[in-house]
Amino acid sequence: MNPPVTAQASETTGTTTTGVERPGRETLRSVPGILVLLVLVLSALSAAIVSGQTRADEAEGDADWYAARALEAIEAENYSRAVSLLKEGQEHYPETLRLYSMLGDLYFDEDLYRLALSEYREAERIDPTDFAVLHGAALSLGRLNENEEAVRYLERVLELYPDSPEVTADLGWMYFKTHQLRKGEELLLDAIERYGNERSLTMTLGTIYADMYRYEESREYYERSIESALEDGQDYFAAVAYYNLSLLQKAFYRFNGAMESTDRSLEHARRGTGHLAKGELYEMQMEFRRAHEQYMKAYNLDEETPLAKLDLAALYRTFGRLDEALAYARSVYESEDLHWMFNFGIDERRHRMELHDLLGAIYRGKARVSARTPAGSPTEWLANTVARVQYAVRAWYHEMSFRRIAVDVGQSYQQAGSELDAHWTYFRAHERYRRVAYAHLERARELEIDVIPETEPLYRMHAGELTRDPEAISRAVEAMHPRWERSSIARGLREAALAFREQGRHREADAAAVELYGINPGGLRQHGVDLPVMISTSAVDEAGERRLRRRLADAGFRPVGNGGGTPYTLEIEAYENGRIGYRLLREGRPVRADGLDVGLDGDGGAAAVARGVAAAVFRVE
Amino acid sequence: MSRPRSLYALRPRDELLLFVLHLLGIGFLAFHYRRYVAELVSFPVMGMIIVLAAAAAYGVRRAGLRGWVALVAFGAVAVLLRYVGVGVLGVLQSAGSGEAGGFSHLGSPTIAFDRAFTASLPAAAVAYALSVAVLRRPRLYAWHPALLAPLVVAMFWSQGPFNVTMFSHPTLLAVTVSAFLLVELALVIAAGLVLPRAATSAQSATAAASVASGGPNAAHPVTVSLTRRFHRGELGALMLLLLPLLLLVLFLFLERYSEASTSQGGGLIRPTLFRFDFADYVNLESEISLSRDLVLLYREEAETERQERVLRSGDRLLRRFVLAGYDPGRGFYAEEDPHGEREPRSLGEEPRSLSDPGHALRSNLRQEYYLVNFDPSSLLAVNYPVEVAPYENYSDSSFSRIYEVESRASDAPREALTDARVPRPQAREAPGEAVSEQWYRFYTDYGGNERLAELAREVTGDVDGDYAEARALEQYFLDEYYYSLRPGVAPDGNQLEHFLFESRKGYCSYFAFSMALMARSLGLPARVAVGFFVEPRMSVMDYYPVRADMAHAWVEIYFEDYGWIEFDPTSTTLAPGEDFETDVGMDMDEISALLEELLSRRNELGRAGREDRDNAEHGEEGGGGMAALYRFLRRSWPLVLLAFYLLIVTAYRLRPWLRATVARDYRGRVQGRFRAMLRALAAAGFRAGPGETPREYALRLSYRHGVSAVGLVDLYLKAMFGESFPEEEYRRYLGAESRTRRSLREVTPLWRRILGFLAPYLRVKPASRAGAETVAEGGAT
Repeated sequence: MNPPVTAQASETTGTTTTGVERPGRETLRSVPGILVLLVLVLSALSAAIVSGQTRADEAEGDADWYAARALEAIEAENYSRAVSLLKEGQEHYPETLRLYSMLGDLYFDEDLYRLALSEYREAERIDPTDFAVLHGAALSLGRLNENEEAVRYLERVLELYPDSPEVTADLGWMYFKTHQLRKGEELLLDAIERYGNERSLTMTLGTIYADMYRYEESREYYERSIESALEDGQDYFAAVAYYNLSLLQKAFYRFNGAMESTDRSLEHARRGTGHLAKGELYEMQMEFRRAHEQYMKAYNLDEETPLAKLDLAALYRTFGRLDEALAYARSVYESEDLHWMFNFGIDERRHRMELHDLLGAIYRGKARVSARTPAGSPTEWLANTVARVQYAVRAWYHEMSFRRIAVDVGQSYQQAGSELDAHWTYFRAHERYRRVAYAHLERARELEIDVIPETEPLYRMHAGELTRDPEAISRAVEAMHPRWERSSIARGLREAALAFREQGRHREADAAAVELYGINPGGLRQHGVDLPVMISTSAVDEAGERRLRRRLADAGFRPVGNGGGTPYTLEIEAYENGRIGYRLLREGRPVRADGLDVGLDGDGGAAAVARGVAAAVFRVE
Repeated sequence: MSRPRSLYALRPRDELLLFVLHLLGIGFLAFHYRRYVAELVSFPVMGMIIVLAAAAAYGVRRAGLRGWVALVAFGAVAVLLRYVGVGVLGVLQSAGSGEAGGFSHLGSPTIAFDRAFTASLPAAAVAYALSVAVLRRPRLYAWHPALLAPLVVAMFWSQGPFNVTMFSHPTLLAVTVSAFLLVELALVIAAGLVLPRAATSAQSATAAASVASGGPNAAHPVTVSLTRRFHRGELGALMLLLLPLLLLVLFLFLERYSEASTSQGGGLIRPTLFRFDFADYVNLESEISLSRDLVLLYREEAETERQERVLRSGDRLLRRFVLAGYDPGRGFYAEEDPHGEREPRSLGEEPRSLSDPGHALRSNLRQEYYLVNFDPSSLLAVNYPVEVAPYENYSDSSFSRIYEVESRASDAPREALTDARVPRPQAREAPGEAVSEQWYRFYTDYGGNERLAELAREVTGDVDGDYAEARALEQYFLDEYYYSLRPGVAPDGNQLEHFLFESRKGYCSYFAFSMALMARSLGLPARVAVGFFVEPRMSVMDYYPVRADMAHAWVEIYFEDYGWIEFDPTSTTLAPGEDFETDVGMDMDEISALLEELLSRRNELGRAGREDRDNAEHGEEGGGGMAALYRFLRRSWPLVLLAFYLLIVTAYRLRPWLRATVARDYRGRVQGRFRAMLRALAAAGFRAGPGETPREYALRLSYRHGVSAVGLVDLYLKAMFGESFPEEEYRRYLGAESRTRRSLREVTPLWRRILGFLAPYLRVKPASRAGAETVAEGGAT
């Protein structure tokens, strides 16, 4: 499935919040200018104290004295001392703004945004117009994903200080995050007119146009920001802008351009998200190894966000490696730290929605695989059944949670006037309620093919899925790009196989399953699709062969006779040493072959062999 | 269809009372079930569905449907409702969804209905089935706790593998479970009061019907009285049975949590009654997962730069205790060494100094521990602790305990230890540290595993010197083995050898066990230490959060002059195919809240000492009253439970005496004393048979068992039914009672009487004596 543009995680460099001449916006250690400024101010204060006007012990208790000592403690990285001093100072001088804002900055630098916000709010009580305090509060709110409140603060700051390009850029970005696209467009166009081609403004505007499905404008502003960054030698900024451009191009089916932009992005800076974008392009082509390699690179580079883990989980899920998928997805699910989202075009609700969707798919897959795990004994059967029920219950829970949040997200799109995104999200939420889903899909199709006509086959495929029309799905699949839409093709084949099977048209279902296996061997069992194979055995007695066929049929294979319309043959041989060898051949050429350390004795042995063969045949490396 | 026949004729008011209590019990279950599906359905909606299900059960009972028909009907109606609901709402919603707006401004009624209905269905089904059961068979009210117990167990059982945390604090769990128990207790008591009366009414109705039809009169008033009493006895016994059952369930829960937690705490930590602590022995498990619960905050002040580097490089190890004993069947376990040396394990209430062995190349390291979810009495410390100072905690603290430790920590660079040697007993006369043969044997016992010893010799073949050998072993594991949360199951059950020679992957315990044993096989005194590592990247304001998944095991080897030196052989290379990460992310909300509290109230902390002792007298020492209560309960919970049990038993035995004491007249006194006597007789195994009149009972006791009771019963009946019962008759009753007691003592051994007192619900076999009492003993009424 190719989500609309807004489902991508556009990124800002964070420069809207860095490099500004205000204390405490980013870490003091990383903003030497701010530090120097503070040191100068407070050194002057200290010097005044030491200069003999009064002895140090007499100055003790003065608000400046507390601020100076706290700064010394911060410089010495003795933060708890700094906090104690500032708190003590606040007790004695509750109306001294600086003591609160300094503490707010300190907390902000240490990523303690809730604490920072509480200090800024105290400071705001003293002076509700202080630029640094209001901006600090807005940024803290942004980090806490309280975006609407952050917007209100930024609007207030801009009202008080209308000539601040930094605040303008921040507000533009927050308008984008809260889907107030028209407001964002107006604000940024006006700012560009006033301040010129400021790259943080043009890049944010590009992102807003992308969200409005205005490809040309979006590309133009991205390119302007890239040009400006390259002129100033800002490679990191250029890398982020190229990354955003690649997302735009991918969403608008300019795949070659997207790959090129991704390469450019990586040329300018090796960043995790650059590798992610490249990995996603490989994943669309169902290139497991290449995608995996890119995601692992991203994973090793990116210590801030869970995006690499999410992509890895999704990749493993697509290719049937469900245990690994689950480990990564749960690791993200259990993480409570969401402040990384500030610089990405995603909010908490959408993040949770995607996570539930992914976890639901993984658990559903595991339930189906459990159902296709032959049991050799009543105990194994019981264990399988318990596992299956457990997975099914968890799948249901995550699917329902996904739908609930998706409806909320759809509503927020609708309120923001993003009709296409709203209908697309509603469609996803209602996929199990076909009548409702179909209505939303149709509406989304009408809106999207106007701006991206290439999405037509994708919509037809989904419509076929909802109406359980395998021919419609097959026709849609044939119209897709054989390389760049391979992922959608795999989905279409899977759905066609299932729909054909429901209608009792086994030959067509088998053909679709065979084609799907050629693209993604891990995509069958987890979706309940069986692979048709001719089974041949050697050195196995008749009863053993019967047992084995039965167990293989339980393990995700569909045994067919000669001329059954499948190119696959599964050969199983019992060796004298008790080991079992197997080979999967496609039109006589071996695809998989190995040996198993299990015997074929009794029902238990047959089940163990079937499990071993299925695990190997359906695994993607 | 006819109304179901019942042995009980409940009055509507009684029936309503029992049913409401039953619903409260169901409500408890539903409330906790809802925690699992909180995102899908609100409690009022679920409550409404449950009430509807219970009302349906009531209707079914009125309609007189059979049980299985009622259940099938429920299933069919539920499926129908779900499909009809989704279908109708789907049609309505799809009609409006094509246009912008449409139904979507209301969200999605289809999804809202489906999720609320389906999520509530399991709870509604349980409410319905149980309601049908108790309404059809009112006797089941008395067994209500037993009916709910499996469901409660199932719900809490799933806490292990699921990630739903029902209770943020054990106190909440205790309060909620107590409320549930109270409701169930009230239900059982109410059933005990109501059901015998209902049975009596039913019997009377039967008797009346019998009389009306000319049959025998079966309902003699005395029989009714005894029936009622024995009914209550049965219910009382049931209640007393519940207590051990409850203990069993609690024990199973604890084990369950313990297992889940051990595997989630890196295979090392287990829950104590209220918090977590390390296990005294460590299992090598086939699979563990990692729980990310915050355990404590750590802060340190180093004396030397070398110490600071230890922290920054991620080598800081906070030791809980050491596992010095080894047994091939049991693995490493906590035991004193032959010199009687055992590391300090308990924090204590007051500051104390520990001996400084004066080893070389060590410097002072001051540490602060802020325990959040860890046993508050446990001591964590970098080796060797020399000063331990508990802090006086401030009130309402989120920290269960706060304390400071000063240690003489090793900061020796590796090159400085090159020549370090381990002490050996034969070197007693030679220069160096003298150790006893016994001590040396204790610390070099490796269970005679020759395969392992051979590997150790192979690994250290070309190195010279004790310290170099230890390093070679450590490096071998770091280079050649993988870290894995799924070391796999050894086919022969020997997890250690499976790790060493087959899978070559494991978690920290595998590495520590293996290295310690291999070091021992080379004659190096070694032991396993357990505790936490500190992740330097997680620093927030100089405080280091320590999570449960940072529980760790490592090796200590003893060297002359330098003492126990730490080695950490755990590989950091993940096993192929296991791409999970040990990320440094944290729940910043939790950390922020704790830090905010700590930073703002730090000045309220003080070292515990005299004042602390004063507070302790008022039950408010470190950690506040609740912490003190925890500590007391943790130490003494078996005694508390025993005392509670004895209290109940004693109350059971004393109740009739009390009743006799406070009775207004002699009749009342006799009634109370007679009931007490009946209980004493029942405890000795002499219970009245069903339908037996008091006099028949007394005669049986006298003739068959030699217990003199006829006179006593005659006087009791006189007190109950005679016209008057003056003081002299009461004195005669006391005399008869004394005779009965004496004869009971004669025929019942002491141990049986004690057993009868302690476990009145046990139906012990009565003692019988040859010979019989004469009829003349009694006398006619």
